Amino acid sequence: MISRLVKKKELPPVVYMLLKNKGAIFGLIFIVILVATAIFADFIAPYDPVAQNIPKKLAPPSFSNILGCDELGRDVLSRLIYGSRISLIVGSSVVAISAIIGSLLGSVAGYYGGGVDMIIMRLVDIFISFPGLILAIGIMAALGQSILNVIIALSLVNWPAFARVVRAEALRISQLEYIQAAKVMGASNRHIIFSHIIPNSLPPILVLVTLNIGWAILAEASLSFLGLGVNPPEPSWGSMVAVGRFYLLQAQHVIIFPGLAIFITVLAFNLFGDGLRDALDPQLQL
Amino acid sequence: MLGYIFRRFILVIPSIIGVTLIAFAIMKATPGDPVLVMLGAGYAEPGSPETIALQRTKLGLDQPVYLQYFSFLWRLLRGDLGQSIYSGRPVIAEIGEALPKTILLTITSMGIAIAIGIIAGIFAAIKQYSVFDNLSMIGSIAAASLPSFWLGFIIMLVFGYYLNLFPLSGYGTPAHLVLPSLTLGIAGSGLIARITRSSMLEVIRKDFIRATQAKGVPELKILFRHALRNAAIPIVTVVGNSFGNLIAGTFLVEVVFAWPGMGRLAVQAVSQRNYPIVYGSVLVVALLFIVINLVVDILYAYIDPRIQFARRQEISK
Repeated sequence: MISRLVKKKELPPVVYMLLKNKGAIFGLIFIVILVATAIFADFIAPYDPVAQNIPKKLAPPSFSNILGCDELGRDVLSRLIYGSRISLIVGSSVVAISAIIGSLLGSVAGYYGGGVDMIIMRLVDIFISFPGLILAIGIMAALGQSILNVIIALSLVNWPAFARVVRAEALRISQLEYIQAAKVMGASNRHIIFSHIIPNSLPPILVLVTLNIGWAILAEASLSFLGLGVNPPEPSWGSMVAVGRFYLLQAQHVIIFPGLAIFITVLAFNLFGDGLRDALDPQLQL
Repeated sequence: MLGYIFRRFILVIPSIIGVTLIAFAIMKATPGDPVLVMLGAGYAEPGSPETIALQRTKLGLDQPVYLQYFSFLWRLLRGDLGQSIYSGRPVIAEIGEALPKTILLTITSMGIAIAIGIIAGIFAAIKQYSVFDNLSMIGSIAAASLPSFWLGFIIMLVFGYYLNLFPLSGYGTPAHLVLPSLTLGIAGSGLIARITRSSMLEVIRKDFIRATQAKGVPELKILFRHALRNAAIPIVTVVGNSFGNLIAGTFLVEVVFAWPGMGRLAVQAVSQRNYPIVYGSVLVVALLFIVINLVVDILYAYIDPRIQFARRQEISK
C-alpha cells in the first residue's frame, strides 16, 4: 500500500520523503501503537497494575505473566501499559505548554526587536544557563512530587528551545515583502504575528515538538527514577526502573523491561522527528 | 582577542544574576517554614515561639523579600551557602568534597564520548552508505535515546556482575571510574558521531584532500591530520554543547553507581529534605555550566577567528 503510493509519487513531497524514511515510519507506527495502548489500557492490560499478589513476588516471565511480576507480585506488562499513559501525558503536555509559551515569546521577540527582544532573550539565556534536568530537580524539590508539578517543572525548562527557534524564524519572516505589504494594508501587529509569523514558523516548531516529546519522556523517567516524579504506586516507567535496581541480581526482568519501554519510545520519537526534519527542511539545525 | 574575551565576560553577568534569582525564587517557593525545618530536625518539639522568632531575625527572614535576596547574594559572594540540615556542616564544604569527583567523572566520560563518537563518525563518513555507516547512524540515535540510568544498570550487570571485570559500584580506585564513565560516554557519543560524520563528509570531498591523496600521503594521516582538523569546528561546538547534558547525566549515573559526587549529594539531600544542599548544588552546577560555556566560547574564537567577528556583530545588534 505504502510502496504503491510512494511509487506513484502522487503525494506531497513532504509525505513522500517521510514514507521513504524507514526509521521515521518505524517511529510513527510505534507512536500510533503506543497512543492506542495508552487510550485502551483498560481493555488491553491483562491485570490490574496496582493489584498486589505476594505469592508471585519477582516471578520470572511465564505464560500467565508474559513479562513477569515485580517485587509485590504486580504484573510488569500491565504496569508498563498503564505507565505509557503517564509518559505520554507528561510528554505531550510539557511540549504543548512550552511550544505555546516559547512560540509566543519567540515571535514577539523576533518581530518587535529592540528592548522587548533583549529582555526576552536574556530570560532565555538565564534559563539555558542551567543544565535542563538539574533545574527540573531544583524545581521539583521545591514544588513536591506530583504529575502536575513534573509538567510545570519540565515546561519551565523546555520553553526556551521553542523561543529561540521561533525568534529566528520571526526575524527572517518579518523581513519578507508580504509582511511589508500586510503592514501597508493596515494589518495590526497582532494579526501579523498570529496569521503570518507563527503559521509560517510551523515546520521547525513541528520538528522540535516531535524531538522534544522524546526528551520530555526521558526527563520524566529520569525524575521518577530519582524519586522526584510521579507518586507511587502510580506505575511510571522511571520509578519501575528505580525499584528494579534493588532486585538487579535476582530478577533482571523487573528492571530490563521498563528501561526498554523508555528507550524504544524515546527512540521512536527521535526517529520520527529526524525524518520530519529531513522531509521539511534538511537545513534546520535542531 | 582580549577585547572579545572581555565582552564575553560582560555578557556572563546577567546570566549569573539570573541564575541566582531563579535559585532564590525556588528557595522561596519551597513550602514549609525554613526555621521550623532547621530547629525541628530530629526533634518532636521545634522550640518556643521566642526561639523561632529569634532564629527568624537571625536568618533575616523578617525582612522584605528583595533585602533577603541581597543578603543571599552577599552570603553567596563570601561562599556561604548555609548549613546542611542533616550534618550541620557548611554546604560549601560538602559541595567542595563532591564537586571534584563529579568533574573527574565528567572529564573521563567526555573523553570516552569523544573517542567513540569521532572514530565511529570518521569511519561512517569514509564508508558512506555502507553497513557500518547505517549501523553507526542508527546507533547514534539509539545512544541519544537511551535512559542513561538504565544503561548504567545494564552495564553494571554485564561488566561488573557476569564478566566480573570491574567493581559494581563505589569510589576509590581508577577501576571504579570505568563503568560510570562508559555509561555516560556511550550516552554522549551519539551526537558527536553524527556531527563528525556530516562534517567529515563535507571535508573529504574537497580538492585539497584529493591533492594529498595524489601526493601519496598515507590514508590514516590524511584522515586525522588533514580532514579531521578541517572538520573540527562543528565537532568542537557539539562537544561544548554536550557538557550540559553530561553534567545532568552525572546526576543520574552517580546515583546508579554510588559515586559520591554532586548528583548523589543532591539526590540524597532531596529525599532527606535537606534543602540548603539541594539548592546549593543546583546553583553551583549552574555556575559551573556558565563557566564551561564561557571557556568553550573563548576556545572557538581561538580556533576560528571568524567567530569573533560574527559574535561581535551579533552582540552589537
